Amino acid sequence: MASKTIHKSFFRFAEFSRKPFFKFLLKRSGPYDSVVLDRSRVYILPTRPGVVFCILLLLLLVGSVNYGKSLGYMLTFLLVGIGNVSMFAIWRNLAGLRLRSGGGAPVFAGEETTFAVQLENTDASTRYSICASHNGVEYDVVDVPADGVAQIHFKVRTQNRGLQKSGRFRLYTRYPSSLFIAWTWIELNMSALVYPKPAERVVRQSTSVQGDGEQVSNAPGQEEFAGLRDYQKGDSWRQISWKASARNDSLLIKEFTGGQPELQWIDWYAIDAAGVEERLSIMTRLVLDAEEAHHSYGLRLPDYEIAPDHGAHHYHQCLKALATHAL
Amino acid sequence: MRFKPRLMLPVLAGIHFVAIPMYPRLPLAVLFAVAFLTLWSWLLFHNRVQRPGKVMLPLLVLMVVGLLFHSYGTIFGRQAGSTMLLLLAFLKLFETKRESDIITVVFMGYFLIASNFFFSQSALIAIYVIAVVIYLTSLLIIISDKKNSTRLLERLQRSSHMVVLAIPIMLILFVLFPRISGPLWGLPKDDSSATTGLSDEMSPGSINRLITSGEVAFRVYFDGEPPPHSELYWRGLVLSNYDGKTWRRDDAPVYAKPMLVDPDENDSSIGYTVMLEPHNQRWLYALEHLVDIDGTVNVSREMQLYTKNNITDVVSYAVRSDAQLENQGLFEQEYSKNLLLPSGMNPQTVGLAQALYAEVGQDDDAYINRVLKYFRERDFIYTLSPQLLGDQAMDDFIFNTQQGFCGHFSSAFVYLLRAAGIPARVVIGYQGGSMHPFDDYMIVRQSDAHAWTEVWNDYRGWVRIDPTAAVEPRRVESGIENAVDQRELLPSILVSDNALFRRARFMLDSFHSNWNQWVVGFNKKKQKELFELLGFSNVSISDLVLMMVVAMTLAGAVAAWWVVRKDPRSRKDTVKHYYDKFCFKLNKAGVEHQSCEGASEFLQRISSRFPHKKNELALITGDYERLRYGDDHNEQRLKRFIRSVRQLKL
Repeated sequence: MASKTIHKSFFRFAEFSRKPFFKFLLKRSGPYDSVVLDRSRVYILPTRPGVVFCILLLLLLVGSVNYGKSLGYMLTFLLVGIGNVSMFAIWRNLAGLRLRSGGGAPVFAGEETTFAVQLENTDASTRYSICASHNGVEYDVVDVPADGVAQIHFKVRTQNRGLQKSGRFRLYTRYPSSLFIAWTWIELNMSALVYPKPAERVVRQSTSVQGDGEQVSNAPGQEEFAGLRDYQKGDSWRQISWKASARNDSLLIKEFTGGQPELQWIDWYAIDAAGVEERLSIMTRLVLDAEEAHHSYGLRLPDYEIAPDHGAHHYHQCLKALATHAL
Repeated sequence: MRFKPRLMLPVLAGIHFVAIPMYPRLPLAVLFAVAFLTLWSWLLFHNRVQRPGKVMLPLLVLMVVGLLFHSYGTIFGRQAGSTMLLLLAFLKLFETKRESDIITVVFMGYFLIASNFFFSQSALIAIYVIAVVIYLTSLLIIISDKKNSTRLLERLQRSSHMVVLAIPIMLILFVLFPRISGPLWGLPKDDSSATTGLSDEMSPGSINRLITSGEVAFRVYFDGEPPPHSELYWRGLVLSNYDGKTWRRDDAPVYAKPMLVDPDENDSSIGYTVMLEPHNQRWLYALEHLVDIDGTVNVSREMQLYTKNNITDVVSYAVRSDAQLENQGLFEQEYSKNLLLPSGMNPQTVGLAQALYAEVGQDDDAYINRVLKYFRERDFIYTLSPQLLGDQAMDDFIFNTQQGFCGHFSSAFVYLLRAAGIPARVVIGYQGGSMHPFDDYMIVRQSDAHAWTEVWNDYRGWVRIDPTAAVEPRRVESGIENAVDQRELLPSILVSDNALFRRARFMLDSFHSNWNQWVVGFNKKKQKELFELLGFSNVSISDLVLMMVVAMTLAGAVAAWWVVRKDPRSRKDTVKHYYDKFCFKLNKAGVEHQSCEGASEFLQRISSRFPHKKNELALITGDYERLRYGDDHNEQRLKRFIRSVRQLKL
């Protein structure tokens, strides 16, 4: 009951302190590009084992008083000392660490994106067992070597397309005694691109495949080998001629006449859908399918157009355009 | 997170490490249980057996309880309680599923190790406990190290470091924590620890056994000059009852001050403090005719000193004795009980007494001298290993074997006096003691154990008479080692001629003495004494608490500073520091380093300016770049970099 009240009043204070006047009291928790965890950012409290340890010390003390055992006092006070020292050590394990935002990986809406944070340790000793959590879920534990760096990751579940900010995350440690936990809340300038959630597989509408003044593709069975050319970024590895490449010192691609990838426009106006999001979702599916089928595809949005091409770069280009459309 | 077996073996080792000092005290059945549980956890670790299930575990707890009842008859008390905690620690090891729960076992270890202090508080135990604490703390580290990336040695180093930092805090609290005298609740009674020392009865041979022990019985700190050796009679118990074989004390000592009378009114008393080693009995030792003693000690009419509880720890008590005083208290019962003899036994001895008493004309003083003369003239032999006596022990001793130890002489003497109608009693305790060669206290050893007699004199009260002195005066004048021939039976410290060995032993004894005084015996009184030594008198509990808070705050501030300050060993800072030094040297030589300028650009400028130093400058710059911006952790390079910056002269 009492602890509930304390918690309540603590949160009330936390709310209160966000008001402009009190803002200067609490250090900003971000967002930063890079930040050093100085003394006012690292909090520390005993863990549950820490509380049990305190009870143990009390029992030892009472026993020593009752039986008048000097060495009992000694042991009790030595353990008090160890508790104290470990409190500072745990705090020190986190404080002084430099954090740099490492960005997040792009994902489709509804999936989890992973953010990376670079931890830099300028001390001459390793900082062991630094953990990261977000929304109460522990995601990663790393050791940051002496005078070195390490990357720590945490995940955030996405909902909507666009830019997903990492939000506040928690870094904490219990090393080296688990009697206390030192933690910090920090927000770094990090965001991940969230592509629209792809629609269920759609039946390709004939209107969406257009010649656009060019030759309509042949069926794949009618391809004829035309020759070899140098590998370029974006080429499918399936088309690499391994035998020829082995003889040469660069990768060679087999070219086929009539085997030009199917050309396709994914056109905003050609999609039959109710809302913007649904439309984008269908277009995302089409981009996915086209890339998977090694077609050459272009993207046409009301205010933006990407010329037909294929390959990883083009693929992400298109998805990015869809993700950020009209935001 | 599942409890990973990586913790199993270190924690198992930890439990055993904690329990080693307990093993000699454990009953065989418990030892078997410990071995069985160890084997089980070992097999569990190697996945040979299953973890005990929901049914098995309560069953095991029941078995543990049953085992304790079988071995101790209870599950409470010090022995049974600590044994139970030990066995439960094993079971907890089985039961634990999550890694963080294993921390409970470590806490149990911290608690268990404290149970040793019931049995010994020696410096050796203290060192062992510190080692155990270091190990247990390293277990906290391995539990906290979630990636399992530390090595055993690293962990031990870290935990030793933590313990070393904790020691100042420990000392502050130990000195300043207010001591409360007296227990908060009852002291345990289940004591079974064996200690050496005099027992409360004397039979032929019981004192001889002690003589071979060099163990310290107590240490004495005299306020002034110690009395001569022949006056050092440390009284323990008065034995009045004799059954023909064994002397026993009265079961119910009467707690009443003896009637002391000072015949010449001169204060010839001497003060001293006795530091008594635990002997697990209730009585204390002091010189004869004590005037004054610390408050909590009971004094019996026979001038025996009793404490409330058995002495299981070193105790110290201040005493004042005055050899001039006469104990003139003799009440009815005391008179009659000190005349009793077992009826119908030792007819020859009784006959001898009557003959000698008649010979001196029934004069008590003359009779006493006559008996002592008898022992001297008949060539009685003082020996450590006398022949065994038959059923008529006194007859056998006086007329047949004629060799004995202090016990034989004092019983025969008392027997002869009682047979002549003079009240007499046996006193056991220690006689003598040797001053520490380079410290200022006296050591009384078990080998100084002695038995003598007290005889009633109508004018002077109870008078001490030592019949052994009549046979072998050297025993009383200069100690046992000069009185017996069988020196090989005596403790080596008394008879060794090796100066180095003796010196080492006495140094060790000095250490023990200080340990007992300032650590084990550090109580309310000692705390007060310490503050008086530092110049503070009348330190109250609130003063102590205040000082404790202030000292802890200061210690906390020092620790915080230590923790918060920038790590001076940081490599990057060192590199930067020496590069700044390098720039400073060049600045003095006339080339200023621009803040926007990279190290290599700067190098181009300076090497054209100092062409003869080109190689050195290039080396320094190259090292600097690799150390500061590369991932180069080469110690050699760092050393070379620092050296070449230092040696650079332009």
